[in-house]
Amino acid sequence: MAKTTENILPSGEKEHVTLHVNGEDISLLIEAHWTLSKVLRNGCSLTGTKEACDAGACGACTVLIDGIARPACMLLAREQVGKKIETIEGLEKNGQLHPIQEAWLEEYGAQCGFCSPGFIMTTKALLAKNPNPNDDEIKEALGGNLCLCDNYEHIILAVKSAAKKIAKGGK
Amino acid sequence: MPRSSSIGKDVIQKDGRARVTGEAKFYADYQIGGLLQTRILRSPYPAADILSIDTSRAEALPGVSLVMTHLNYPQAFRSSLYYVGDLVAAVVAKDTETAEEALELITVEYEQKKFVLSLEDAMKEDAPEVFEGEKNNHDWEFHAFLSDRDPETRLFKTKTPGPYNGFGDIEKGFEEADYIIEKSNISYALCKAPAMESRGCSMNYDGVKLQVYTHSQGMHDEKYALAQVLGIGQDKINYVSPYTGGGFGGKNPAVQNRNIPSHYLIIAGLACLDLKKPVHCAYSREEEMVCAWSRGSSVDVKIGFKKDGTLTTMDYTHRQETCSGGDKWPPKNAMLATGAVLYSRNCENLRAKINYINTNRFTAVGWQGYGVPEGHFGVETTMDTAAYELGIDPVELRKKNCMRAGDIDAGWDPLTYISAYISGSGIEECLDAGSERVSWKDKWQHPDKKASRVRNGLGVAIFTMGAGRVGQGNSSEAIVKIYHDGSVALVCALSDMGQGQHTVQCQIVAETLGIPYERVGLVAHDTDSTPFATLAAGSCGTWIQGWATYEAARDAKKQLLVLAAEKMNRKPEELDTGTNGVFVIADPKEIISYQDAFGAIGHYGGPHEIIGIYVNNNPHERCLKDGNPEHILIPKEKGAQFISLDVDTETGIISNIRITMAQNVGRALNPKIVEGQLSTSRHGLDNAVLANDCIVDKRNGWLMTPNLVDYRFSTALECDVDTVILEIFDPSHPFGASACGEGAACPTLAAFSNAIYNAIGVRLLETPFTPEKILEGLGKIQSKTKKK
Amino acid sequence: MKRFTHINATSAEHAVSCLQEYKDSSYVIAGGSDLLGCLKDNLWMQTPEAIVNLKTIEGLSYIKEEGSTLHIGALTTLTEVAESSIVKKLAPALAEAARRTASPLLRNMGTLGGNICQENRCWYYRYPSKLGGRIDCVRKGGTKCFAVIGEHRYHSIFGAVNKCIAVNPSDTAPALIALNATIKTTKRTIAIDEFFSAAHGAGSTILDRDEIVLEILVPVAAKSAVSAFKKIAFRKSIDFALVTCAIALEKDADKITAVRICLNGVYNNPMRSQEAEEFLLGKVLTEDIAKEAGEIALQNAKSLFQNIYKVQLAKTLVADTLLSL
Repeated sequence: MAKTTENILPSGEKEHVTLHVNGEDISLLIEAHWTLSKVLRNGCSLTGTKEACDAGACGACTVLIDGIARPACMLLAREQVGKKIETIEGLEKNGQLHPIQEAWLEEYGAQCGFCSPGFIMTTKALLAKNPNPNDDEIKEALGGNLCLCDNYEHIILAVKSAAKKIAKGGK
Repeated sequence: MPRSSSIGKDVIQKDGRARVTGEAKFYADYQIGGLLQTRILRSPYPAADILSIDTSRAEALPGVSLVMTHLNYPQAFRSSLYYVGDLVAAVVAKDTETAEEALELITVEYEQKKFVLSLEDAMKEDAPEVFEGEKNNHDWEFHAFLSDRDPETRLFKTKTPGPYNGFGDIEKGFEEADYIIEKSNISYALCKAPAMESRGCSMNYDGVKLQVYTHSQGMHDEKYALAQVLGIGQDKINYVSPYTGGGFGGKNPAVQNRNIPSHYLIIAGLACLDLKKPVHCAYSREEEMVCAWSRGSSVDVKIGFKKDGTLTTMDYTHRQETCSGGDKWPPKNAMLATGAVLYSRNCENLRAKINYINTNRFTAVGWQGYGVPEGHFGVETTMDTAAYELGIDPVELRKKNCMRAGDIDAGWDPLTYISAYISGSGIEECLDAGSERVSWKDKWQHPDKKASRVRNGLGVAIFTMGAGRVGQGNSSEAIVKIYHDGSVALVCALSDMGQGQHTVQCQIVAETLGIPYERVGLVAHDTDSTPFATLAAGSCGTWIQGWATYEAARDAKKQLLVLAAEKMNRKPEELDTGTNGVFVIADPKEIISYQDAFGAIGHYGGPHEIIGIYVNNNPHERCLKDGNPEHILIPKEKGAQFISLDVDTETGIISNIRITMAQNVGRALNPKIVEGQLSTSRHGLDNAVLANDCIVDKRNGWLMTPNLVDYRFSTALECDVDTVILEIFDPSHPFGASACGEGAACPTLAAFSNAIYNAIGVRLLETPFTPEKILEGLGKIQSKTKKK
Repeated sequence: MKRFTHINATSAEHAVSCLQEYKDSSYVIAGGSDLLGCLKDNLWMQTPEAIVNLKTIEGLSYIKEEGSTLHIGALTTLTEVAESSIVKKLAPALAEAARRTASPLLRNMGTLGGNICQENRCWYYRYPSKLGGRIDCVRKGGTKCFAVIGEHRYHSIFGAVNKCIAVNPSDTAPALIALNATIKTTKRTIAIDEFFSAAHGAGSTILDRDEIVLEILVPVAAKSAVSAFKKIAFRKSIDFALVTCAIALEKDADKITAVRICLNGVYNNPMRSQEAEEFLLGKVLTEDIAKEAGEIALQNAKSLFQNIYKVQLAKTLVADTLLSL
């Protein structure tokens, strides 16, 4: 039986960890209570992940953990070691926007843009699972992301347009 | 085509790319080395005095840089506290954990005082005074009576201070009315301004200047205020605010007013200057929920009609709960809903009385609509009641009485003009277009005819909202630079917090110069690089800034044409600018490139850039009818909103909500942006049916819903918004536009109330429209006592 | 959030030994959406010293049918439960309850085990310390319940337990009760009817402090068995319920031969309505019978000033859920 002292990070101490973010290994010093969103923003300088409600209730901090959309403000960074983390910064490749980003831009999916990274990451997970969602499926999948500019019509159009782009081989 | 055109097109959002890649730097994204963190200690009591405060243990904690209280920073902190969450002390430390630990080491001795937590209680004679020596209930000090109406122009000539806003003879009006419809205590529960980004700032003194990283609806206004409070010159501050994560009024801090909680600026500013170290001060979502702007009111409306439904007389009473804050201005915008503007067509007699009332709740400051939604909720539900009682179709009653272009705005803004011409309306057309979209004539049915468990209701409300202000403080400036490679920069500080002004202003430049939109760059990120721009509030950007941008572009163009004329041996007036250069209007094939128009540059001298500039001390001369400075054409947002919904009579739950928003925008400069603005009708939905009022514990003053779990904003699933965009050219704008922005949420409370009435015959006049109120109205449940 | 010690458990035994070592000052973390919320708001009178991560224990996430029982690992996410074709087929009430819980993002991290062990959502209990200090209500060891005399529009309509009128917020709990599940822990196997216990300290279950849910077992009923779950909430996503209802029943030639009804959001514990169940046995389901069952289920309701409407909601929901079967 394992001892309690194994796999332990005591309160107030820092630990070296490696997070696998957007295809790269990033070595960091973290504390036990630090959330993933904090560490991404402060430790990795990946500030595209936004913090808005700090309660998992708005989706602004959505990232993909092994392909699954989760709110980074409710995840402990330490618990993400060994997982594949994708943030908004990982979408653009060689100066080329991801089809979802392109669609967002064309359909005016961002108003103030504070929610956009989260919505785009949720959409990426949705389209990976369901490449051709209908309106109801889109709305349901976006149910954890708030846009307080209320730009939902454009956002839904952007998801549909992104699905078409991806189907045509965009990505 | 030598000229390129972008007006009326869905061009790509100017700074959109950065918004979808995560590169957009909102203030909290600036990473500054050694940034200190701030945490705030907040009052546990709704009313108390600080008898003593001991910060010695906090100060002794390693890592703490500064502890701020009313003792060492009286300009920011007070010894009296007026609401739960009011500012007691702040700790600046090396990290948030240390700052939080230090907060727990501060000991405060409070003396609790009597308090009052509701508008109703605050108005009682023996109510505890929120601010000592000051009655809670204030008469509005700017009431003005209009008289001396010119029979020809219909404008009023005289304005005199009085006990209420109005004109005509209210008593006589009601005496002569055939019908009088009256509703009282139409209550808009306190609700919070939405914005994804909570407020805060980082400040860094770089040896020369205080660099302020924050969000802003008007960074120059904010900079001036902050400089004053900090006691430093405006030249010593640079405000950096490239992106603002939603505003809706809430990103318009009142730095000097300590009753209005935008303390993050003064706390960070004082700490940064004193410590000479970078300081971050931000509100958590919970703090933001307490400190964010909120609105709440109670109004009475009494309307007199002729037999045929002509509205002749209106009596309007508005009680605004300003809570422990000091924003008494929103009620002036409520005037827009009355016979002063919205029903100015036939209204001969108006009395509108405004009071504002302090309570010991968090601060109330207006947001989206700024008083307009409150006024419309009252007037448009009373109009709806009238339609049913008079037996006139609700759409027809409004068509008969709503404002038209050329009607008189009877001074909704009592400080700046006596009365003015309404430059455009189109509400009748919006009512027609909206009715058609929702099949009003086929689908509308009297509630008496509905009997099924789930009943559909169809409601309508019309609205108007300001689209620009005139007079002092409402100017805006722009610089347009043309470079010799044919690229252009708009230098303009107008905030884009999602409403699309960065895009639209660049479209105006592109259109004026006849060049592709993509060639227009934007300089808008800080105050050092930009001239003053108006506060982006009151849906005024397209109008106030639009004129400045348009004229600055024209100024630049004029200068370029003079340069080109020399090279082309032509007169400047024979020439125009376009995609590929300057061309002869009569013979577009005769063209020279921008480079050739400039001539040699670089080490050889010559003009390197052309600088066009304009200060719009509006009203612009083209907003004056016949050039007469007293004949102002004042634009409005205006339209009609239809709501269709289903009410389950067994549960009181509302579903299948569809909002149809018909708005005359004059000209849709960018249709996608217009659609996006109209979709903010959901903010009305939030307040109407998601039960997200700011519930406060009546015994202790705690805000019970200080997070986004318990305070509900619409998700993608709550409703659909359908838009009907009308474009009836507005003569007060260079491209015929007026505005669209705040208006979308202005009619929504009334439209919901009216739709619910149409479904079940129950008139709800207190928001939010909860299952409890619906079930009570239907007689399915009885309250144990009258709920307060 | 305050600092704590974090331990990645390697096995259930390891996790239990950690809990024993840190005694009352430790919590386990699964999905974390509830726990981190509590920690961020610093709402407990004592901050836990240690957090024990269960996600590093292998083999606690699965859905399988074995014999006549559906086995669901405690760490299976709500999304996995909601989307599982086996759960949808064999326990539709549970699949629907999982689908209606919170939001898609939270369902992607929230676990079934965590969902039935979550803290209540009473505004007073959850009041964040940032806004003038936490509220030490009776549930936390304080002396009084502030909701009874204060804001209780979403609180219990069946009275208090130990002075507390908070409601159980779980959506999957009523479904598991209707489906007559059992809970396997590190110590024992517990019938779902015995699992929830508001009387048992600050938590909402009978679990000991060093006890961890490992598996949820749902009996696969006869072929004629059906089940359904309905939820009334303000928004169609994110929100906790005003009222939920889950019902499982079996019929023989139209007559009800077995039925279990459970409401939630109405009382400290999920509320089984045995009187309504008895009433329904042997009856053919009609609209009138369903309504009467709803009336019976709520006949002992003791609503407060602000939550009378919830009685009407619950009555209607019982009838509606029955009629959907």
